[in-house]
Amino acid sequence: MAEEKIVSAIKFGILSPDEIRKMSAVQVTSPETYDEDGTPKSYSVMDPRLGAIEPGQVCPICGNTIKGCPGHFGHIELALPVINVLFVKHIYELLKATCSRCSRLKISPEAFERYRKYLFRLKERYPYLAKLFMEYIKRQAMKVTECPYCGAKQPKIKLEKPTTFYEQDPETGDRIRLNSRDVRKRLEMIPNEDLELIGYDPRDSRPEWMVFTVLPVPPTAIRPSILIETGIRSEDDITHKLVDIVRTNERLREHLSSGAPEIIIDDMWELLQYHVTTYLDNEVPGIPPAKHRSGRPLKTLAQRLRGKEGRFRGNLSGKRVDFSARTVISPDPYLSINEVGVPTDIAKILTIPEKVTDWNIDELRRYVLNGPSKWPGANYVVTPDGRRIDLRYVRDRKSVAESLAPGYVVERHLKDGDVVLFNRQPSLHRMSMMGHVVKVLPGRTFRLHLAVCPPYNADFDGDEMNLHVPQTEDARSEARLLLKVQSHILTPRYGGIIIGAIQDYISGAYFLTIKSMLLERDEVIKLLAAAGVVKEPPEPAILSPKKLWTGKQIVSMFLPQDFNYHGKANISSGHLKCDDINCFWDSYVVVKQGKLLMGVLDKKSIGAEQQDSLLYWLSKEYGVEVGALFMDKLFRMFLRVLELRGFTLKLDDVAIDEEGRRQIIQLQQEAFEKVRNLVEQYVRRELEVVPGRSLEESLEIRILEVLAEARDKAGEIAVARLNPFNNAFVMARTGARGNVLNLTQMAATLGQMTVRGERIWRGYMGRALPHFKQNDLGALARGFVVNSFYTGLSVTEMFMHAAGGREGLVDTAVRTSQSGYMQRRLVNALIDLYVDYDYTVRDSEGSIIQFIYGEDKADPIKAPHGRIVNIERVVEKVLGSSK
Amino acid sequence: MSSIAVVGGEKIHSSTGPIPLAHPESKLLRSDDRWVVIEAFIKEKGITKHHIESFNTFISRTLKEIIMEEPVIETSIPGFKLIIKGFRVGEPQVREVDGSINRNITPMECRHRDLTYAVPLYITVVTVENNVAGNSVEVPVGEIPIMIKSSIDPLQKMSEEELIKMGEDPKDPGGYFIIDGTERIIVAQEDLASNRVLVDYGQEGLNITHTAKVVSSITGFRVPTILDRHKDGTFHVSFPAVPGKIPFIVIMRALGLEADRDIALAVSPDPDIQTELFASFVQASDIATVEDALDYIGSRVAIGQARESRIERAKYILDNYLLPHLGTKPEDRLKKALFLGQMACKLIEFALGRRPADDKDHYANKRIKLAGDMLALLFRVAFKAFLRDLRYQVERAKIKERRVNIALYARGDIITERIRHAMATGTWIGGRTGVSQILDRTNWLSSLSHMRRVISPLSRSQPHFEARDLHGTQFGRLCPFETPEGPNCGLVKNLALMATISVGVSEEEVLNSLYSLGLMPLIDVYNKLRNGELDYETMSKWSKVFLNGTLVGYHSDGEALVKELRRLRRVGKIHYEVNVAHYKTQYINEVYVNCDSGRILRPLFVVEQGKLKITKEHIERLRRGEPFEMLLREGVVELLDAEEEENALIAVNPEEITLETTHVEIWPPAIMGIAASTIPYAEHNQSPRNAYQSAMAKQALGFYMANFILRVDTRSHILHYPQIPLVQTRALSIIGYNDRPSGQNMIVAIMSYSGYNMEDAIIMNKSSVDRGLARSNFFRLYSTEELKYPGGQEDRIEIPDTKVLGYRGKEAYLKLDEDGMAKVEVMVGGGEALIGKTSPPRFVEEFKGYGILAQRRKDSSVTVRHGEVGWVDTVFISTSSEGYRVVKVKVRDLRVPEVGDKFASRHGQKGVIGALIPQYDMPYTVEGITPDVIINPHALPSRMTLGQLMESLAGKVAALRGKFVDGTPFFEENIEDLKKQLLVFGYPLDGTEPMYDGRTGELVGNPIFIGIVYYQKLHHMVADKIHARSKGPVQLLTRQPTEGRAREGGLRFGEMERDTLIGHGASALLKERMVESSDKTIIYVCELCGFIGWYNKKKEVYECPIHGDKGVLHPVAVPYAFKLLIQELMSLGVKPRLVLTERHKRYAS
Repeated sequence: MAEEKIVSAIKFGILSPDEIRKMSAVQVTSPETYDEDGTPKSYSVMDPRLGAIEPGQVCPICGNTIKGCPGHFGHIELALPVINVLFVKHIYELLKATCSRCSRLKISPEAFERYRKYLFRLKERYPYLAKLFMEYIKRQAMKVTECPYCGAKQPKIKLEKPTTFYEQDPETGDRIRLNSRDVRKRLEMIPNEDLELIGYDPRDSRPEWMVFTVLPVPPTAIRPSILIETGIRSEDDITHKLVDIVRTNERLREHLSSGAPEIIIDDMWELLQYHVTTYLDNEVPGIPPAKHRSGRPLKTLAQRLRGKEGRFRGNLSGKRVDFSARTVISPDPYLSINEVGVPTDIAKILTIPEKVTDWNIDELRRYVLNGPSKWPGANYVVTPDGRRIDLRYVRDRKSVAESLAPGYVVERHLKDGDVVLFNRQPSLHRMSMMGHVVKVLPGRTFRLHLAVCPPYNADFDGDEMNLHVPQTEDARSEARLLLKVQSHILTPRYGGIIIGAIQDYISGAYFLTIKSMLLERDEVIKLLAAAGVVKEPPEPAILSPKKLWTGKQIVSMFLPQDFNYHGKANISSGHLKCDDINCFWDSYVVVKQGKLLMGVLDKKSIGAEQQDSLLYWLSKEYGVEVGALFMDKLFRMFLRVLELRGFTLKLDDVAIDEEGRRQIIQLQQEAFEKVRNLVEQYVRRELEVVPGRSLEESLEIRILEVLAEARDKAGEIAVARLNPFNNAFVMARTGARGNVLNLTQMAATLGQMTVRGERIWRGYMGRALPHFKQNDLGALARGFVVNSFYTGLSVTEMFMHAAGGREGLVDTAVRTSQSGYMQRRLVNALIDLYVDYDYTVRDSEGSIIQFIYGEDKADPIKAPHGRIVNIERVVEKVLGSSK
Repeated sequence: MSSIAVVGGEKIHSSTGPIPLAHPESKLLRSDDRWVVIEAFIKEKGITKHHIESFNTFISRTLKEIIMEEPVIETSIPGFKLIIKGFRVGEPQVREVDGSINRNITPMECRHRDLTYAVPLYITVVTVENNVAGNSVEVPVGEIPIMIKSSIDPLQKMSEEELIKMGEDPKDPGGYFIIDGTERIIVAQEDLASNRVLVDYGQEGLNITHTAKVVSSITGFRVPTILDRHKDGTFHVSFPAVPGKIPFIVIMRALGLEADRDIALAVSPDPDIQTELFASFVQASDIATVEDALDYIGSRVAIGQARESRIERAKYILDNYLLPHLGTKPEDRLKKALFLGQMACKLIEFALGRRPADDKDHYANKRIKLAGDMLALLFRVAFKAFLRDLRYQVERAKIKERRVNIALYARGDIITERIRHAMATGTWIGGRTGVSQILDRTNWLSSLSHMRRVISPLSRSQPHFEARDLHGTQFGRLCPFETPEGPNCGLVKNLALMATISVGVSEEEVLNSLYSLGLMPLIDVYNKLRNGELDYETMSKWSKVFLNGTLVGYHSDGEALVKELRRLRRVGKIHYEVNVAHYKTQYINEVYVNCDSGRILRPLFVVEQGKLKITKEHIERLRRGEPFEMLLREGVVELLDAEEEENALIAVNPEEITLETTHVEIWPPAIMGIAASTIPYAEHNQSPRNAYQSAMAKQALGFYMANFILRVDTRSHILHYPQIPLVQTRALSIIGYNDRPSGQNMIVAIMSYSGYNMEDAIIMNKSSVDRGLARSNFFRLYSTEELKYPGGQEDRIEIPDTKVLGYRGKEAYLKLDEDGMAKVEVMVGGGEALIGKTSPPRFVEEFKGYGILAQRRKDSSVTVRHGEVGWVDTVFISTSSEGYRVVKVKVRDLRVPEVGDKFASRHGQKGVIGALIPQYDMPYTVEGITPDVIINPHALPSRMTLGQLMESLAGKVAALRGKFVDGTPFFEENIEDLKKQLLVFGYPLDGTEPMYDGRTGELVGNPIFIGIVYYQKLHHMVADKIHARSKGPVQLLTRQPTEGRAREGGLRFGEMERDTLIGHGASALLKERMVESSDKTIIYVCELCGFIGWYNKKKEVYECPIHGDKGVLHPVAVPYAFKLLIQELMSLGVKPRLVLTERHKRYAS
């Protein structure tokens, strides 16, 4: 056997009749496929010489069974030539570009030479331009009305879709039909030199080959028949179509030999053309698709390749794979962020082939002894001569284990420390698929650390995720090096961190770092234990009457000694706003020399999907491993803080007192009066018109403004009346969950409901609901909801609220499908682009798309805020403080 | 609420109050009193009554109409014809194989034996030969599936005990069919109202500025007719029978209005409107006579025929295909002309800006088609096919013999088969799919909700934003919350609790009442106008009166007419289903009277002179058991359709009644549907959450039917200890939820604990689970039939012999008893046989190496699905309708909650179990109470489901006081009161309690909110989802792993996943996934020609298809799909030559 090679290119051409005959194993002539006893008939489309398809059957041509036989082509000698629909466009162009009498390309001899030389040079240096030039020559030739060689006047060539050509005399307007034989004859006569000028390579694709005289019959391997449970054989659509072709062809041949009248022959010929056309492509416009008996259109060759489920998108670009698993996900804060908890049941099915060496032989022997049903075990042993021993059926595993020697391969169960790909669909960005380290755990779910929820966009309301086990060593090392979770703490989208604290972690961090958090020694130790740290706490912040530590001190224990950072906290807004170090509200975070001096930790400093945060600089300056460790340890401590403090949400957290309620209603009444004034102005046509809008639109815009303001003010009233340590308020302020709008809607008022940016008006004439008068333009009649979720909505309010909510639901449904398609198109357009070593962006042909990547050479993952160097940060790092 | 100004005859308001209250208290009408009314309404109108009534109408009315439509069947034999004298519907029966007729068939037997629950239909036919009538014969024409609990179903009359004896759930409301053993429903279809003219703007970019459309339809026959106004001001009519458009004037002339004046008067006597016709008159000035006009139309359809036959053809088409709802006789042409005239009038009014465009989403313009209507459609076609066949058969027989026995030639299977096929596949005539669906039996609620579903025929692939919106006219008719998420959002809807669908009242009756009230018939008015006895001046104050969308005449005082009609209806002189509406603007003065079927009606209290008509006494009478209809008859409650509601001004509460108020809402929570009605405190939740819960309620496991032991559903779940929710809504009891609940009351703490409940996960108490919390059983049905083949071969249910083809190994058949079926209460696992079966050998498949055909029987046993385990629960043995033995085996599996199982509260808060913590590690209260569930506080703020917090609190009170809490939206028990009750029981009033950490015993720093919430176990369980594959079965064609968990398939590494790896730059991983772990193959490629060759095993050489053994072949590893692609391309005549290069080529520039 010769050396194994790889495919470097595919050169496309057209199969010539000679080639088809040469590679044919059998000439198909019989339209019947099976005998009465069910054996396939020779010379039929199911001839055994077309390849072995039944298990155990030996191919008469190559002697292989189903596994080794690639299938062999047969051929059908067509009684009359038939046009290949796929090339109709080319045939059409060629007929138009060449002379109808002498078949020369209609380019004058002088121009011909000139073009040829020019083209030759062009091909050398600018292959892409050469293509365009050849196209230009073709267009030129098509325009010529008189042959420069034989001087024949050129008739107009008309194509009637899909495969009928006519010749029209430009003067008389008579139409003569060109049958496939005539077409082929003309194509045959085109000289090779002429073809080369318009981009054909005559060695591989002579134009007459676009008209079939011999039809290749594909091997049975690509059109297997299926046995239904009842034992009835059901043939592939292509086989059905081939039978049609053979039958028509044979009948045509009979007619020809018996000298049948021309009309009958033409009809038959037409039918043969129809069958061949639909055999190649059953979705050709202009002809009815061939149908199955049940009325279902047949899936013929072109349909197999095209579309989402076609060969390209369905079987080559994406395919089903082995060594994969899928199940529901659940959280596990006690895993590391780069780990994934794999159920034992799955670990026992997924395997990794491990080569036996002197160093792992004992371990692998143990796995073999454990067998397939006990974890950690092994499912197969592959001997050096390629024999696979299935351990399920091995009685005596001991002897197999004994027989292991270097060179053997053991397919052992997945175990702790293996690297796998973990993925949640839809895979919208590269962080949707990352390399995780396996941790085999009991249960039936995949377990993951909560900090990696944001990149996967996962939550635990029933989501499922996929897991892939790479089988080759190079694939595994890529997974370990390129795909590991730590490498993706920073997102290439904007350079911020995408893996970070969420929910409990943020609330916990906040409570730990607020000023009032003073801990006694045993509490400190408890927290450190939760983080898995055995270390003496620093000098307590308060020595008397008790030794007390601040939460900030504890956090500082996990920061590198020379780390400096300052920035705003999430709670820094509203009346708690601070812009610099002089902060009374503790909303400005300052870390100096590894000590958290002031400010609370919340979403802005450690949260996911944040830019320029504490965690960001930590990961950036000390490496992602430090960042990962920080998350693994400190985050557990935050949870413990929350457990000690007790964090809940009670109904009263969103309740406001009577006075507040009264003020809000007062506010709303005023807003309603304003609306009424506006309406009055509108009726008197005195309303100020918003530029570019009609009077009605202006009224609506103004009303919406007034009502939005009312809602915001109501929100402010409500928020001002909430206790700052109210649970809901804490979550909103720290960014753990929710926002002020949520609080407003729960406690104060929902405000105006809208559908497509308008107040709600669809329904009855002049009113949305029959509970209001016609032409009521007031706030209440058009969907202003006075009540809050706490007070509860009235029926009409609930209906209006539902109308607004429905729009959101419809929007999400419609948007997901549209953005998915958009993403696909973008990805396919950009997929070949790469940044070369010279910082240029190039496409697959090496053409330059952009001279400097991103115009600034900055990699967003490495460059904060698009700048290559953050000078301030450097200064701060060197001096220990900014400026 | 005073008007600000009058603009264009209309008052403009800007109301500033009163501030709406969520929980108003009414002295005039206590909530209990209101509830009695709605309770009586639902009891009478029922949950699935609309389907049943529709089916009953089909049997009692429509069937007759269709059969007797053309009672005379003319044959091609002169003087010989058949006359249908009558018809009869039999009783449920089944024809057994031996030909006997089994009249004792029960629905349960049908389910077990895969039969169709149907009744035979007979017609009485008389042969008439040369006007001499022969004997009348009754012939069976086929079988019609019957609706459970309809008027012809014996079940409907049975008592609960009898029903139980028959194996039925006595509370089953019926409304579905049993087709081949499966329960199917015909889902209500929403449709644009037929026979009504709708005007709209023309499509952008076309020549059409305005268009009027009407879908004319009589039972089962729809003809859309369109009138367009072109940019040049001309009018054109188009309808499917004639290609292209016909000028309006031409068609009017063809219908018999020869004079221009007549045509103009048919449109309107208003000169302003008549002016608009000018362009049209000019356009059609060449065609001046009726004959010419007919010829014009005829020339479109009968091309190249004589003038006479063209005219005849045109007449035929005008009679039969133009507006058929007005009649199909020549004398109806004037009616049609006047109708078209009205269409033109409406269109011109619209074009002149006198009226707005009609709103297609307005429910006055929509009708619901129910099972009866859909069956009528189907039956009509089937019956016509039957008659055609009968005529053909009889004609053939008549030629041969003198006397024909009709009974011999009536082929009953035509109708039976057509209906059965449509019902079994859901494909209706016209290619509409999904009309009949398998009844959802996940739980009680899902079945009911399924039967109240309304689907819109609009395509789901287009956005159709307007159609998906919640429309004001849906208030009280369709649930504002219950709609699926995703592509069907807003298109699939569910009926509101208080909605009912009109059955239809005879048009003639209503018309007669109208005439007696002074309605001037349209024809009279038209004739008077023509004769000059009437002029526009007098008419301009008159009202047009429409009946079901067709102008029937004029009335001098529309307002008085409407008032009188309503009065008559309220005293019971006119049927309560008849609705009237009066539209009056500056230009328009129209009265619409509707009495057709398919309108969604909703009941309201009547208010007259600012006073409620209903009294305490009425309510007392209801309490005493008088029917709801009494209220309708006495006119204290009315059913309104969306059209009449245009005239209503409704108060939510009696206290808000003003002098203008016409009605009062009966029961505001009843604007919600079945599923949304289960949500307590729904008015405290963000609306999408209510939508989510409405969807999830249908996935909850529970007690789906009381006869579940006898049932043979393919999949079913039963919750072990279903509980009635502690926090009730009033609807629950009336829906029957409290009798067949699907969930349990759990003690729920809202706190951050251990981190295992973040991002929507929940923590569950392991000890509670051990005690049986949320435990359920899963049943799966396996079934097979012992077929007999032609030629004496047959299947055998037995323990297969070891020599049988496809023998699964001895272990697989261990659980089988001697009779070949699994023993009851035996544990079975994936791959084990439940029913051992062998089939006779069929040719072809055995292709043993040397061409010997082995004649071995084949194993066709039914095995437990891959990855499932269970215990054999029941074995059912019966006979199919073909007489084959049918074996059904029900396998039961115990499902104990585990990490990964999905749960949800009733507020759209779903989550999987993240951890099961034993009681000793759970936090506990002062009293030692440990929660069953701990949810995370972070799940709440952004979702704003305060309803859940309120339920929690209310549940706690309910448990403490030993009495349910009513959480019905708007009428709930006051939350502040509940808090106080909590205080009385010695708990903090905000629902929190101090708690201790179960692991350390230390007090948690802050008190924790804890209460009782009703939780549902959803049917998404990890046990059904976990799936892994190493290597396994591959597809035949592509050699890629198979699809699906059941087939041990591989997961798809799709294009997007490929993109991520490219993004990572991981080429080796990419190759590993796409080649090594999928469909890697070695092919041999000839270096000379680039074609795929092979290794000849016999000659032990490599061969190329072109060069034979002279080829230079190299092995190349490629995906099998690539090899396939190459061969497919070659089949297309394309020559893909593979260019090879060394495997480890140095990088060269």
